[in-house]
Amino acid sequence: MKRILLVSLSLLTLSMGQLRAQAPEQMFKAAGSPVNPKVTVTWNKYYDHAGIGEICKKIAAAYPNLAKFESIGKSYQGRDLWCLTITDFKKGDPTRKPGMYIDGNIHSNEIQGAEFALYTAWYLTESFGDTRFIQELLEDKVFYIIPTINPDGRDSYIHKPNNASSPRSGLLPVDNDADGLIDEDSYEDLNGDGNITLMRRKSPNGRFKTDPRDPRNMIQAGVDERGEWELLGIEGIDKDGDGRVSEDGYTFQYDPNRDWGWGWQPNYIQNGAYKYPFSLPENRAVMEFVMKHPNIAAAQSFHNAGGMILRGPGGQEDVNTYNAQDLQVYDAIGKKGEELLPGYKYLVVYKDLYSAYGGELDWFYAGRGIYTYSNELWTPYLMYMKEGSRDLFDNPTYSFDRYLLFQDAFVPWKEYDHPQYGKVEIGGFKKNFTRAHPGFLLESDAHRNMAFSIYHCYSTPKLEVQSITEKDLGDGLKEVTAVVANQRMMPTHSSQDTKNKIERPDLISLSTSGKILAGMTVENKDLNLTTEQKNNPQTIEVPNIPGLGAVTVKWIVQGGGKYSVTVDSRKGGIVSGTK
Amino acid sequence: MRQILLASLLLWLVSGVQAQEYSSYADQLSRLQALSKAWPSLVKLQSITKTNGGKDCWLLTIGTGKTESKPAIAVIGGTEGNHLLGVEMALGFAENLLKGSGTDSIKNLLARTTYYVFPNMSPDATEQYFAKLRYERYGNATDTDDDRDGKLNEDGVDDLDGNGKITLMRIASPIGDYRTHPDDARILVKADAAKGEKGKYRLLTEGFDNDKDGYLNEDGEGGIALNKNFTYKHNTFAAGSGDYPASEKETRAMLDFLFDAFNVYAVVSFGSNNNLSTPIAYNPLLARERILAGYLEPDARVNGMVSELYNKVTGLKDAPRTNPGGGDLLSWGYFHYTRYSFSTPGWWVPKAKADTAKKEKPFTVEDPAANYLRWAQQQGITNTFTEWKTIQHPDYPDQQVEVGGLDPFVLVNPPYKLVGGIVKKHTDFLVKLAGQQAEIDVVNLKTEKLGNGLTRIRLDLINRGGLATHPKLAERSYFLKKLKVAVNNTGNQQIVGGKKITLLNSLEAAGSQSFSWLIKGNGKLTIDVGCPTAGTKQVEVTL
Repeated sequence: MKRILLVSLSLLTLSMGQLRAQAPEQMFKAAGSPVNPKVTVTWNKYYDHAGIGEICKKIAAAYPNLAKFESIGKSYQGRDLWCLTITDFKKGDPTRKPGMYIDGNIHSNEIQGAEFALYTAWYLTESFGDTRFIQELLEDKVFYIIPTINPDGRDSYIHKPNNASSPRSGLLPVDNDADGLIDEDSYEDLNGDGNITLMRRKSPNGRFKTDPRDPRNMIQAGVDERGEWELLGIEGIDKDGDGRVSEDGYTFQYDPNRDWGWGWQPNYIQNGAYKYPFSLPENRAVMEFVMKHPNIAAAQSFHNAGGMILRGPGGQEDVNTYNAQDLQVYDAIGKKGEELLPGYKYLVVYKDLYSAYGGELDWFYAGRGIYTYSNELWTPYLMYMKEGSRDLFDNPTYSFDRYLLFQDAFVPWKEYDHPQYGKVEIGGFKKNFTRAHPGFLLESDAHRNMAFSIYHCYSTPKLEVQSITEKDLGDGLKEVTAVVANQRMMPTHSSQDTKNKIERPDLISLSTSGKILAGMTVENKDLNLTTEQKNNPQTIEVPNIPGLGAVTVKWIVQGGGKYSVTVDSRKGGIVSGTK
Repeated sequence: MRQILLASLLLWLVSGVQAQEYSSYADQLSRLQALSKAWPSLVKLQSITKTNGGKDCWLLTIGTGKTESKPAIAVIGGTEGNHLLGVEMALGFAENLLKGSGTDSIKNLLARTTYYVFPNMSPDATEQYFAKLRYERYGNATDTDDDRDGKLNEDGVDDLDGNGKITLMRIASPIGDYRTHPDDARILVKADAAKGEKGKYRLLTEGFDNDKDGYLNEDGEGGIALNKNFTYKHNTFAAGSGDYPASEKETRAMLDFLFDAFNVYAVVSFGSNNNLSTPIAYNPLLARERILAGYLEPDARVNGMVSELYNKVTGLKDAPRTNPGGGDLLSWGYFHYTRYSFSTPGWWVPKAKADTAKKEKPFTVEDPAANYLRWAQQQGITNTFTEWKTIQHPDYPDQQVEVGGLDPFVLVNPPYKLVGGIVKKHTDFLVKLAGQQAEIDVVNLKTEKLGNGLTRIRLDLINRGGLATHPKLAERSYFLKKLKVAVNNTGNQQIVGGKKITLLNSLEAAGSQSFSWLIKGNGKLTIDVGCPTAGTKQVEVTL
């Protein structure tokens, strides 16, 4: 009996020991990383939607004063869109702090965005205790982090047979070939290995030959030499007998990143568009969340792949939407990103990539005035720390898999009897390679991308009432002048915002025991150039408080004495000063 | 005999709720319910959404059998909230059609065509006509910040003269840009500085500057206007348009329904836009823009053909020119829904001729209000103008402020006694339009035995209709079903030549396409042809 007790006791201690892997005294802090986090997460693997949710819950439970957990809506198949709000809840009203929105995984197969976003939440909470910079940041700012805004697609990518590029869309069914049948001819996991790879066939008339550097690879035969392989495309069969293979599957129903409410175009102009902006439930939930949080001043969405820091516009028609003042801010943050993220390039969607209408970043900026970037995570540069091509058949990809991943990322070619093609071979890279980060590179790149988001967030407006001065005008009249400054590079209203009055003006109010007779904005203090606001003079409306600049306002007060000036800005927060 | 009795009983029932005046929301509903009660086998009534004002947007499906698989026309009223006539036209069309459903011609029509009637897509706004305070309203009950100052609905119109209507307000001012109409002193027209004309008045809508921001009536109740909320060239951030396209429940409910209705080949909406009196012309430059801005040539031709039909059937002329303003239903129907799309106001104030007996002269300045007053007088219509009356206005102290002007609604909604005739003409048009719809048929079906169980099948697919199976633009659409030709061979029948399934983008009016297959085997097989916008057919072939 005693023995049994002892055994169960030791089992108990063992399991407790597993929860906390190491005793604190056995660990030594590596610079810039939490040494003994309350929430243990291994950042060299991926998590499905339930796994992501569990980590979110653990973070919120471990740090109730720093993290709040909620679902902002449901996906098409009813999965929750989980959101972590990260700020110092003990200091200030979180809804009035300048906000940084981060999401990932809008495209189903672009999964690491969720881990990158989640890493940000984890790092901020775990580092708060011993990092002064993070403490100050979370006192001033609030992060809204939605690791995956496409959980149906995520789980489908992870749990269903797929390749690195499928599925791209969410799972709302569409009749892609307009034949009246829905999803009747999808990719097929013919060899049942959970991956959708490639089909090739030995043929004297094929135009590909075995790559002498790596026999798993095929390269184009020279114009003057015979080939040995025919490439038959992605694993599949013509199920509906229409002469096309895999033309109507669930893997490409629509593109969730062509569904946003700025510059939206229908499917025949913009491939991937669905019925109308926000016709997909996941995007609608995000839109409603953003509309309810006008304090969001900056946004980041994570995609893959290619190593890019993208800004809009997505369509050439919108070039003039971005004026010089906004471009300065965009360029400063984007260029900083190039420094922080080796191998990543700061680019403009419409001119460096392709024209895309109805994209998420366009709606965030042009529709809501929010400075927004989309990062295309993972670049072949990270394999050997030098430029590499994105070509799947490029040899460095094979050699990286051979020497650093020990061929774990490849399904070896194996013969298969195909009902339409006869004897073929099936094989190729697994879905978790070429677009998703290999495990050992995941955490470091997540950290770098988080650093970029933090710099972005840090750049959102930080307002202060810099000075309040009083001047006696005689006859019982006082002139009260207040200077309101913005200590960061982002203005309270982007130029797109000012132009379209997306958010209301900033309000600068004077409270005093005296009677406020007049109020005005001061364009030039030295030359006494002012514009009077005749109605409601105690609250002066200013359209914008520029980045690293200031606005000056002035009141004429009868009587007076004590003065309190409050600035109320949707994206700049609330600050006060007294004299 | 019993059938006739029943029919007359139904007629009586329907005429029992025959309206004598424009129908309010409640009256519209009882008329709809009467229809669904009287013709339960032909009618399905459903609510597609409830507005923020708590009103249902109704959809009446009229047809027989599997209505979703028959080519369909969508008929839409209440496109604009001030256009009560459009509601009457949609509702009246449904009533007329159903009343005639005993006749062979309507029976045949409903055997092959489905009508989706949306009688009123702006129920929050049209109700303003029946409210205590009558004014022309476009927006729904969504709270909006039209002047983008952070406050909602804080400065709307006010009835200063207490007549229950919102008219105009004129303020005598040396910096005003309006002057009195030279031929009718009641009317104000813009002074043209280029012609040396001097303004005498500022012209504003009736109301106070409720929020004291220096702007008058700039952010009143209501809301988002349906006809500004669609996705084509949406004027994002403009008052009444919405912060993004399809922001409103009404818009989305309609789009959700229509995008799933693959059988709809034409949308006919009633509102201020008009491409039926004068068709939209083909403009090769606009039709080549990346973001398509003009009709494709074959589709412009169809618009011309249908416009001709409309003018012939209705006999209407002198329609004012219109230009869709973006975010509108007419443009959406073509450019984004990729179906044939038509719109008409149904009525406009006729050009009033000068009555020489009364020594009237032709107008020296064209003006709709002046023309209306002359026409109204000739028609014996009175009490639609409020004479200018001086009032004390707190926002304009020490200034001469007068309230008066033409009644709201009268320029776009005729006296109710004219509505019956207008509805009748448009019913005829909607029936004749269905007569043009694409109809797929198979002709010249031939089999040749080539020996040893090998048979060649040949046939021609033809379109007997006056419209193509799909507009040219729809050939690119994601939300239409293609014309499908499918051979249903059984186990012992092998297709050795030709495709089992062929998808065609379109078959034009009076167009044809030949098919042939080589089949090894014997017995019978069937071939299905068709698409939801043109109907389906099955032929049987003996090998």
